[in-house]
Amino acid sequence: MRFLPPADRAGLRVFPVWLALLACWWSAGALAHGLRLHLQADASTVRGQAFYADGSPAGGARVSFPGPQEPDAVLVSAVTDADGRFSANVAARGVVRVVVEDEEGHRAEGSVTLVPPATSPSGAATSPGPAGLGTPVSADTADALFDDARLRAALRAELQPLREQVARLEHRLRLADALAGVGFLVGLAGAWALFRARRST
Amino acid sequence: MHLAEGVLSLPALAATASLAVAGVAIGLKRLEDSRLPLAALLGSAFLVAGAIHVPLGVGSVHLLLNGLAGLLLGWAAFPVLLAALLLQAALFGFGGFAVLGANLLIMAVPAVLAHYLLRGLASDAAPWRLRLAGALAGVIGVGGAGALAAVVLTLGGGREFAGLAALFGAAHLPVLALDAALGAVAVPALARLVPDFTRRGTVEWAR
Repeated sequence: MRFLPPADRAGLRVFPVWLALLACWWSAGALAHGLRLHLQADASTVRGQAFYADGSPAGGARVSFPGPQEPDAVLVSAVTDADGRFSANVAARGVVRVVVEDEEGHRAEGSVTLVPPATSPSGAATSPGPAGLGTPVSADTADALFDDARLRAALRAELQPLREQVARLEHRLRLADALAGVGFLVGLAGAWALFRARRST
Repeated sequence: MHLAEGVLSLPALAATASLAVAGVAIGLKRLEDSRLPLAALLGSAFLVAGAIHVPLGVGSVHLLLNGLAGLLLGWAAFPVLLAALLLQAALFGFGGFAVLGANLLIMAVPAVLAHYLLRGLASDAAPWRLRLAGALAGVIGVGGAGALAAVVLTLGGGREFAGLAALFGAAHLPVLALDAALGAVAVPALARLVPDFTRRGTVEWAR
C-alpha cells in the first residue's frame, strides 16, 4: 500500500510557493484598501485622520489644502503622523477642501466647513440657507455647530479604538477562513489519496 | 467574477450545473494520483488568491490563478476549482451554492482551454518557454473567465453582452496583468521544484 508515490515527495516541495502566496496575501493587506478620511474643523484649524479601509492609520501621507479658486494653488500642506492624524491652520473661510495622498497612489478627498467662533461678529445674518457654508451664520447656529463638531470629535475619538479593534478582528477572521479553506483542501487531497491507495491494494 | 445568487434564470442554472457536473466527472477520471499534492496546492492557491483584492480599475476584483491551475492540471482543474469555489462560497461569501455550476464553468473552461493551447509550449524545458506559457495561462484564464461570465450573464441573465464585456474587460485588466506575472514566475519555479516537470512535461501530467 502506498500513500504517496515518490514523485509526490517532490510535489510536496512546492509548498514554499504556496507559503509565498500566503505571504503575498498577507502583505497585500496594504494594497487592498482604499483610503478614508475623517475631518473636523473649528474657526481656523482643520484636524483629521487618514486611515485605510481596515482601520489601520495612513501614516506619512501628504495632506494638502487646495485653494478655492485655483485647484493647483495649495493654501497649506501637512503630513500625517504615525496615527494618520494631521492638523493645519488654514487661512480661509467657509468650505475647505482637503486632499490626502499616500505613497502607493491612494487618494482621499474631502471638505470641511470652518466654523466661525461663537464670538464672531456675524450675529445679524439671517441667511436661511445651509448654515456654515461660507455664508455668515447666526451666533446661535455657530454655537450649535461648534458644539456639534466638538461632540462628533469626542465621539470619534472615543470610538476610534473600538473601530480599529473591530477591523482587526474582521481581518483576523478572514485569515482564519483562508487557512481553514487551505487545510480543508489539503485534507481533501489526503482523503482522496487514501481512497485511491485502498483501491489499488 | 463570481456571479451572485439570483442573477441567472432557472434554466441557465440547470444547464450550467449539468455541464459543470460533466466537467467534474471527466476531471476526476483524469486526475493522476501522483499529482494530488499539486492539485491541492493549486486549489489552495486559487482559494487564497480569491482573497487578494486588486484595488486598481473599476469595481472589486481579485486574483484568479485559474489559468495556472488549468495549465498544470488539465481537466482535473474542474474538481479542484469546484472544491475551492465551494469553500470560497462557504467561507468568504463569494458567489453562492446555486450558481456554483455557472461559476465553475466560468473558471474551469478557460483553465482547460489554457492547458490545451499551451501544453505544447510548456512541454519544453527552456525556461523562457515555461515563463511564456505561465504568462499566457494568466491571460487565457482571466480573459476567458471574463468573456465567459459576460456570455453566461447574457444568455441566462438577460444582460446586454457588449456593455458587460467592456465592463469585465476594463475591470480585469489589472488582474490579467497580475495573473500573467504570477504565472510567469510560478511555472518555471514549479518546474525547478518538481524534478519530473521538465522530463515529463505537462502533457504527460494531465492528459
